[in-house]
This record gives sequence, C-alpha cells and structure tokens, in this order.
Amino acid sequence: MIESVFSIDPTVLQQTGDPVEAVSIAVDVITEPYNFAFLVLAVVLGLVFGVLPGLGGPIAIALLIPLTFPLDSNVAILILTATLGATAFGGSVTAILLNTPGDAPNAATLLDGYPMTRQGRGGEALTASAISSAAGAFIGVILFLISVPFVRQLALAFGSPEMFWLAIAGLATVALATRGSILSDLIAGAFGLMLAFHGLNPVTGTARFTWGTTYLRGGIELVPLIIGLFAVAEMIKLLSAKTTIAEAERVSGGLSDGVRSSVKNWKLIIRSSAIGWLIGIIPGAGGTVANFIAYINAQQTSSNSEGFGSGDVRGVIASESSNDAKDGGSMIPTLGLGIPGSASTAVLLGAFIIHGVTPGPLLFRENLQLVFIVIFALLLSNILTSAIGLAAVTPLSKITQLSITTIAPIVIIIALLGSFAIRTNFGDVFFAVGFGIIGYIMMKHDMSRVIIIIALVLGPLAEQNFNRAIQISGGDYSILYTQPLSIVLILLTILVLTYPLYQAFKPSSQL
Amino acid sequence: MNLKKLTMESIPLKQKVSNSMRFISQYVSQISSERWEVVFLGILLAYAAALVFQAMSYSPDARLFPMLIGVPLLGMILVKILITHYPIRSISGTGGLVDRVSKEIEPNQTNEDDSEETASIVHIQRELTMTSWIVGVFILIWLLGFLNASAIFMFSFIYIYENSLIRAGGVTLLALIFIYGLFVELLSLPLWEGIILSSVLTLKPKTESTNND
Repeated sequence: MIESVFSIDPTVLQQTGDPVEAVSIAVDVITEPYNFAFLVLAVVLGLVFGVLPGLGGPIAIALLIPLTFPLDSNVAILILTATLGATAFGGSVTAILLNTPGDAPNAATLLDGYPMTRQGRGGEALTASAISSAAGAFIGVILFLISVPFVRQLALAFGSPEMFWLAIAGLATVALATRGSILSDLIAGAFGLMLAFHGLNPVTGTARFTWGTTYLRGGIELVPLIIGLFAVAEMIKLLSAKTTIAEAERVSGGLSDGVRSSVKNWKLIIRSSAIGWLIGIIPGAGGTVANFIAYINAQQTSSNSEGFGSGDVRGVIASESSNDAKDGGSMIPTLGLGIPGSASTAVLLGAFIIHGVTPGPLLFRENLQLVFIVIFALLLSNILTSAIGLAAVTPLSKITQLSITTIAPIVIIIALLGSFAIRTNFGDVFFAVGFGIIGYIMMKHDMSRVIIIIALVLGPLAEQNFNRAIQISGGDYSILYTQPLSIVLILLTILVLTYPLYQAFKPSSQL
Repeated sequence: MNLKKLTMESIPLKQKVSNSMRFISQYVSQISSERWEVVFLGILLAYAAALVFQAMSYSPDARLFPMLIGVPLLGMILVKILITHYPIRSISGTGGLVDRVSKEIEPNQTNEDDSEETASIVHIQRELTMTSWIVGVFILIWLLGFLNASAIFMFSFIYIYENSLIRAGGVTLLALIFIYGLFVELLSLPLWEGIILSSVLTLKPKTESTNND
C-alpha cells in the first residue's frame, strides 16, 4: 500500500542519463508533497541524532534504511541524504553548548564555540554556525555540480602516498590550532597516536597492545573516547564549580549578532567552504582534517587573530562552513567511484546497493537523476536544518542557564548510553567513564583533548597508507616524496610546522 | 579533623560522606598542583614505557610507527616532568618560544592565604564528590542495568542537590520516557540489564532429575 501511495507513476520515466531529464525527475520527486514531508521528518531525525553524543549520521541513516525498503529508490535516497545533511549541524550544537563534538569533524567548532557559550554568546555562536553551515553546504554542492564532468580524475588523484602526507599535514595543523603549552599538546598528540595503534593492524595483521583482552583487539573506539574526554569531563568540571554552562548573567547576543557576524565574514565562508570541499573529496580523511585546516587558515589570514580559541566567532564560521561543504566534496568519491568518504557515506552507499543502484561511473550514465536528488536533498536539508537551528537558538541558549545539577545527570546518562549504543559493548561505557576522569585531569593541567581525538583518527590513516605505499612500490621509499601532489603536501606540512617558529623569532614591529 | 566523629551513629550518612570527602580533600590540598601534575605525567610515562617495551617484541613493520612516536613521547614526558619540577626562567630574545614553555608553571606559583586555602579545599572536595558520583553511576549501571541505574542516579542526584522531590521525580520520569522511547523502541537497542538481573535470569531452576543426582 505504501508503494502505491508514494511511488511515481510507472509510466513516467524514473531514471535517465540525460541531464535535463534527470533534473526534471529530481524536481518532481522533491516537490511531491508526501516526499517533501518525509524529507522534513528525516531532517528532524538527523538533527536530533546529530545533537546526541554517540549517535550521529551513521546510526540515523542505518535506522532509516529498513523504513525506506518499500519506497521508490529515488525517494529512499532523498530521505537518507537529507538525514546525512542534517547531522553535521546537529553535532555543532553540542560542540557549542556542551563542549562535546557530535563527531570528530565538529571538534574544531568547540575551540571557539564553547568559549562563546561560556561568555553568554551561545546564541550568536549557534546562529553563525547555522548560517555558515547552510552557506557551506550550498557552496559545496555548487562545486560538486561544476566538478561532475571531472569526478573520476579528482577522486583518483589521491593515492596512498598523498593520503599519508595529508594525515601528517592534518596532525601538524591540529598541533598548531590548539592553544596552550606546545609541549603538553605534543605529548597529548603523541599519546593519542599511541592509543590509535592499539588493536589489529589491517595491513600487517598484527594485534598490538591488546594486553590479552578481546575488547582491545578492535582498537580503542573513537566515540566513547569523545564522550568521555568531552561530555563526562565537562560535566565533572561544571559540577565541581557548581556553575551553569553560561557564566554570564545574561545570555545575550543571539540572532542579530550571529547574522551580522556571518555576513561580515562572507569571504571567510567562501574560503573555508572551498577548503572543506577540496579535502572532502579525499576518502576517509575529509571532515576532520578539513575543519582544522580551515580553522588554521582563518586564524592565520585574519587580522586580530589573538581571540581565536577564546571565543572568536570566526573560528566557528570557518569550521562549520568547511564541515558542511565537505559533504559536497565527499559525494565525488562516494557517487563517482563507489568509495565512501566517511562512516555516514559508507552507510549511504549500502543504502544505494540495497535499492539496486550501484554507485560509480555507471551511476552518472544511467541514474543521473539520483545524483541531482542527492544534490537537492543536501541543499534542502541544510537550509531546513539551519532554519530549525535559527528558530531554536533562543530556547537552546536558555539551556545554558539552567541549573547544572539538573542538566548534568541527564547529559551523563545519555552520554553513557550513547557510548554503549555503538557496539552494545559495556567495555565502551567503562572507557567513556575512564577517559572522562582522564579528560578532567588533562583540563586541569592545560593539555589539549582535541588533539587526542584527531590523532586517533589520523594516526591509523597515516600508518596504513604508509604501509600500502611501501607495499605498492616494493619497498622503495622514494614513492613517498616523488609524486607532485606529495611534494605539495610535504611543503604544506613544513610550512605549518615552521610558521610558529617564524612568528616567534620575527622582529617585533613595536619597540 | 577528628576521625572518631565519622563513626558516631548520630551523624547522618550524608554528613559522614561529606566529612570523609573533606578529610581527603584536606590531604589532597596539602600536595601542590605541580606535584599532582608530576604524578599524572608519571602514570603516563609508565604506560608509554610499557607500550614501547611491548612494541619491541613486534615485527619491524608492526613496531615502526609505535617506536617512531613512542620513544619521542617518553622523552617529551621526561622533559615536561623536569620543567614542572624544576621551573626554568624566561630567556629573553627567543621571541617567546621558551616563554611559552616556562609560562606553564607560572600560574601555579601563587601565594594562598587562609580564605583561598579554604576555597581550594572546598573545590577539591566537590571534584572528588562529583568524580565519585560518576564512578558510582558506572558501578550502578554495571550492577542494575541502564534503566534502573538511570532512574536511581537521576532521582537521587537531583533530589540531593536541588532538594526538590517534584523536580527530581519529574525530570527523572521525562528523561526515562525519552531514553526508553529513543533507545529501546526506536533504535531497538538491547540495553545492558546489569549483572545482578542477568545472573537471576540465567539461574537454572532445580528439577527432579537434578535432585535425584
């Protein structure tokens, strides 16, 4: 019955390789009232899942897949892509309000978003996030449209050596982004890398640092670590200080300030979106690296950059616009080559296959309407998410003034549930609590927790691609420094690492 | 602080717990924050050393990255311990590079008077209390399962600190409805039931054949 209600008339063409017909079919699918209602519901679900720590895109999409079985493939992909588009902004809400990134790509947002909340400017941060997210998604989609003829070349440009150097550049960039003691941050980053080496190495086949436990054979799971280091640690801190999340007496500077900030920094939005889109093309690396590179770029190219890390709205704008633009970039390897760019796009790929559609070059030849449905779904979901976010700015800001002894128990329970939900393994809850205590100690001693997360994501990427590159070259290490793109990335890494030394030793202009 | 007071039956449980925490906090506050940082770094050093030692037993491919990162990590932690324990002076002319390293210890070198010391003890007491709550809820979840532990934890925490039965009950009920609706109904997530309930459910009933044996 559901099929007959929601399917397009079978006499109407449903798939095509012609661009004009593809756009026409895509518009028909989206403007169908029931389909649009489904899209709105998917956006709300994606937003809720993005907000809750430990859940997020992959779970939201996986949850919806069975519900989309009876639907037409065009409608199913519309709903699932809309969910994907909504989760990114949802993750930024917790990053800004609770200092807990919804996912690793949201980690850069909390560097300035949470300090803004503590200053009573959570509304401004959320508004700037909403607007820059929508703008970033729009730019990312436009760039994707322009690049459709070059999809294959773009996605294949990055091989193992390039991926290795990109991960190294990402790690170097993050070390630069965090404020505080350089030595402490380096220790935190190196420790994060050592944590990343726990578990089974897929290239060498060696189980490392498992200490005889089956739990550690799978490595240290990222989400319980994020939940522990940020959500649990932050609740301990706020409860110990017996203060509300927002320290300011009035939670002011909402919509109008956020809009003004976003409009004033339109060039930053474009630049950060371009960075996010470019790096989003690279499978597996995208979101996390993109946001920090965009953040660093904003910090280094902006005047009066001393405020970064202490509540500068430009930090939020840069990271969020790149975070949403990367979705447009990640569709290039996902749709063009069938290589997922992230966990969320991996689940989306699964949905494609379940509905009888094989991503890859053939998709553009035989089901081009799906490409346009994905484009429109990303656009609309981001616009709707941002609109909902803007409407919810005031009530969300008020949460930061509620008594912490009421909010904290709820946050703790949901956080621990979220850590359990990943693998239904109680060991993840243990790790969340353990790293919560470690995270609090790290906060007290001014050690960066963000860099641990990034190291956990980029460490395996660097190692596995290094090993693959050496295997491909038959043991010849020159493969790492002879490719043009590799040389560019090496130079970028050197630039990133030497820039602080240059800043430290350059003669001061003021005597 | 007279420890004997802790054993007097006339003192309510809450007061006894508070007194215990205060006693521990006073002891903790007598040790400087630099010392505690050195302790934390020492634990980190021990674990990193264990990882490096373990890595030496792996094949060359498997130990390459752990050794590349682990050995410098050991060095950095040692340097950090030395800097924390033996603060260095700022050296002019380095453009702030050494300043940034040495500034880590400056905020801790403050003179505290009695009022600040009391505030510090109170703060430490709160930290220990809240950490105990977190550990406590973890143990509760392990024993009783998520739903039961959530109800007990949320209700008791809010009631103790807000002193409002209505708020505690209302917030707990709403939170449980949300948790059950989302995680159990929508996600069909098999929540952890707790080892006590799991043990009860897996108990084999006595049968006649068992008795005859």
